[in-house]
Amino acid sequence: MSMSRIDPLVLGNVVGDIVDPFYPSASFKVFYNNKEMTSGSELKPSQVALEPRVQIGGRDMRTLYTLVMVDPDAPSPSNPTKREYLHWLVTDIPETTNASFGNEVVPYECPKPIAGIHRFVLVLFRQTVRQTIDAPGWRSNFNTRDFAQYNNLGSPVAAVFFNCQRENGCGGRRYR
Amino acid sequence: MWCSEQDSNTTNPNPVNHTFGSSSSSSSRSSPSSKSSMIFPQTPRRSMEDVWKDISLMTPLQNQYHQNNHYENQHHNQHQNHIHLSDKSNPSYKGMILQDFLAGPLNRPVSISPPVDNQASPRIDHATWLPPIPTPNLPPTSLSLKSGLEFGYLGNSQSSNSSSGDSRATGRASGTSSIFSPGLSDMIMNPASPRNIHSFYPKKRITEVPAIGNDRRQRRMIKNRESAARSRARKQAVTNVLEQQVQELSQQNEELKQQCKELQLAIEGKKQCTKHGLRRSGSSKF
Repeated sequence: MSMSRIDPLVLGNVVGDIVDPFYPSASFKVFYNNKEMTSGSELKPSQVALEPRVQIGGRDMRTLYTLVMVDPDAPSPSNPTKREYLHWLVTDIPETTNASFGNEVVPYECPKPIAGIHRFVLVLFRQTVRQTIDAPGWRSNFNTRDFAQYNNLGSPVAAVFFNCQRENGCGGRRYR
Repeated sequence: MWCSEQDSNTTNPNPVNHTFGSSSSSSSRSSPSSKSSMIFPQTPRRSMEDVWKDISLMTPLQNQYHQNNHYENQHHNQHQNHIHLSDKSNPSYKGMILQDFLAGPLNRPVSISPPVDNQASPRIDHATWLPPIPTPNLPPTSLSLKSGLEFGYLGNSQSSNSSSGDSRATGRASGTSSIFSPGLSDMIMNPASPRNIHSFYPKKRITEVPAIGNDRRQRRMIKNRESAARSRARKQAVTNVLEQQVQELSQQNEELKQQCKELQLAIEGKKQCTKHGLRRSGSSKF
């Protein structure tokens, strides 16, 4: 049916809403409960309550990465007034290791979607130098593009996303 | 292209009827680009109105439309340049729509805008235009769907139908009046073809301008549509990922099978060797 398989990031509109098209150049795996999370899969809030293990492949421990986790569909996908809501921000992650070796600028907040099915995106940037990045004043209305530009992070090198809705399902409409 | 409105009037060999009585007048469709305002005879008007009344699925809209139309008609009498056939011949539907449309989406009187004037036959092959609009073939029901649709339709026509379904949001040329008319007649004449309906859906414009009457319903529809699109995208994303995994795994499987075969052969080979070896080295030193 589909001749060319479209990247889930494009299909899910992550490319466009949050990041610009980029060429993935880092090996990046996210494990929730020791299970690898594939892009576009659906997880429950209970499954993502704790921060995931983020494995960055490679060989050079001197290369540092910054990880950003945002929710572009806050508070609801049809009305994303708080786009993007910052859930996690870790900097100075050495290659080959995981996020616990980095500097957690904004602590992990468990996804708590209330209305609709939200996308949660983890974007990885490659740092050129070890840098101190200040936490934004608030989590709402974060802008990944601007953040990357401000901190000279350049284009993302990897990204994955997953979908999440209320634990009891039916993130459907509650009101007109 | 569009600017030739008035000129085209004169040059147009077709009888004036066309725009209006699309259903009644045969020439409607065929008239080549009666772009500019045509003088419409009185007769078609009635039929158009009748047809429209029959078609109307959304009464409140229609009512509104009529009211607006009448008001607008007077108002637009001034600007004779464009489309105005409607004033005289067809008080209720034509002309103003274009004007209103030009005035801006928010001013749009009604969702039933497509009645717009002329029947510039959809078959018009204006040099400037691309193939005739499929869009005019909206089924009557589509009118009631949303103002957004019509908006799209209008936009389409205005943009000279160059792209049947594309949203040329800015095709507000004045000369497009002619484009509208065929649509109307066609709409009445032709049953819905899904293709045409489809042409509107991708339009982003649909999100603007809900009809005054059924705001909530239309907004809800729009939201639902978007949500459905998101859901489809999610589904497709998952499918793609799975397909990819399947492919990779199959490939791995093939490779592993191959390795397995080779290893087995190697084992067989070694076994053969050892057999002989055993025979040979059967004796001990003693």
